[in-house]
Amino acid sequence: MLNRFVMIMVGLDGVGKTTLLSTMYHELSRIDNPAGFEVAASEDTHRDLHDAYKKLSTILAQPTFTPTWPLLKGTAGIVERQFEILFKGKKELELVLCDIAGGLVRAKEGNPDFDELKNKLEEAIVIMNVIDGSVLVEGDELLSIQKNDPAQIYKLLLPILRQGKNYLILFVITKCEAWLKNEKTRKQLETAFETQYEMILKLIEGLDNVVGVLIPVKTMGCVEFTRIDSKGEEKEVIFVRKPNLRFKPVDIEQPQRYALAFALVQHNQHRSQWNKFMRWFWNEDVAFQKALTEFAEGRSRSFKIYGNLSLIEVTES
Amino acid sequence: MITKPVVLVGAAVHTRNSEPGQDYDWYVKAGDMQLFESMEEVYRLALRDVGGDVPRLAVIIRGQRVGFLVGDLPSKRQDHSHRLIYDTLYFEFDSQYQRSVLHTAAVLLLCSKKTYKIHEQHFTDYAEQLFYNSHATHLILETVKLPIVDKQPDFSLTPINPEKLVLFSNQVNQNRCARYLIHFAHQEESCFSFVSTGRVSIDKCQQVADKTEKCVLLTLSAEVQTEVQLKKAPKSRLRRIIGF
Repeated sequence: MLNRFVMIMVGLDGVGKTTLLSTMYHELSRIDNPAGFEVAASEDTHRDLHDAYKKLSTILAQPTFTPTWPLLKGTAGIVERQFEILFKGKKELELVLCDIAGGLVRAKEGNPDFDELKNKLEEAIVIMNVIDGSVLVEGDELLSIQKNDPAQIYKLLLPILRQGKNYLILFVITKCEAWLKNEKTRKQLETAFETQYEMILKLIEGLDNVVGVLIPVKTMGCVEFTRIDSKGEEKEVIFVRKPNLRFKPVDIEQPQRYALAFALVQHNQHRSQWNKFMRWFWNEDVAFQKALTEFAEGRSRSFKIYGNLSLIEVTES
Repeated sequence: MITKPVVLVGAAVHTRNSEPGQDYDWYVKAGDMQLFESMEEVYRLALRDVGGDVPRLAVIIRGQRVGFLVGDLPSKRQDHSHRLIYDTLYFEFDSQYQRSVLHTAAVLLLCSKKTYKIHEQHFTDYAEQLFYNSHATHLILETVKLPIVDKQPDFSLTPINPEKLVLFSNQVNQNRCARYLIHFAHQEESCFSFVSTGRVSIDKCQQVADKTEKCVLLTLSAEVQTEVQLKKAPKSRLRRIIGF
């Protein structure tokens, strides 16, 4: 039985992995969950993510957006965050969420952290690729390589996805508030993603054991892309804090919802025969499936799916 | 701050540069360092990317050497995403300066948050000086000034008697550790480690303990309520048969 599952966030330096994680956790912990599933962080994880969220709120509480990011600190290695998924108050499975230093994506063989990253990728069943949306739409090829590097992500994923295990790949686009205002700009974001990630999408489409979901999120809701400045050969993406907008993440809990529903389906499918019999005997299987269906219904249907859709389908029967 | 110059044999700095791709790594490794690999392992296991507002320190004593690490030193530099860059500084000394190093760790545990900032700046200046000279192939510092004990620990607190011990990092336990470090008597043949860190699990503390014969760790993990005796290394079959 699969009772511990690993989820890993990959993405280059500065795309907002740690910020996404802390806001995602905050939003998820606020959700009323009548379905019976709960996500409980270990006390240390809770404190770490709570502290990170508090720092972020402090920055965004300032009247105008000034470069106050010094309050935040980049990740230097691989950080494991421990969670438990409870069903009706009882532990159902363990979730380990790995946050990594962006630079590791491009580290070389022999670097101990890179070796650890490869081990974690092999263990993981959910891989979350965090992508800088502003670079996706407005950046040139050089900036795209610098900030998102889809070719390198493809290189990392290729040997992993061919192992045969079932995988969920979440493409979470951050820093894309400016393109989530209407259908036309949403489409622009989606097209930019599909063009630059074509190689990875083709890989997913060609495999039966993988499903991908494109999830653009508003991590902050009040910070927007304005322009790209050039400093000699270097380019800098400039964002502004919109004074009329509040810090209000949108769809931020969706990646976790997709991830948890997938993990619970995998967990349920791989129970031992004895466990299945006992659950059938006590009628627990029906209650679990009903709750899982309810939980999965909380996933937004507006996201584009690539690959084997049946891997994320949840039905009550 | 009262300091004492101590002769250095090696130094290293873990930091990052400002451009994309110039990520956190050991940018400086200079001099003759025998304990660096062991310290790097302790750093990766128990000091890097750790939350909690307590001193990040490590000391390793082995053979004729003493290694001292102080982490989470805020530099004035920022990376390409405008995040503050933090330095970690490692110094290695000959064993004759063991007392000075342990006293420095004790000073950092005993001082107030305000005074800690002053010490922090003192070590950040060394780290930045080494970083800006990272192209140099030799060790650019001959001596470093280490703070000396100017405040006694609380002798009314229960002394610690460790083999391998992890304590919750509150003021009382920081004080007990400082007392232990000030009066530390090292046996030459053994290896000792001290680590002060943030929220690091018992499992990770055990991994640090497995690499040394004696150790004391301070952690902010909720898994450690007051103190926990860690497992000693499993005895070899021969030692089990002979019974010692």
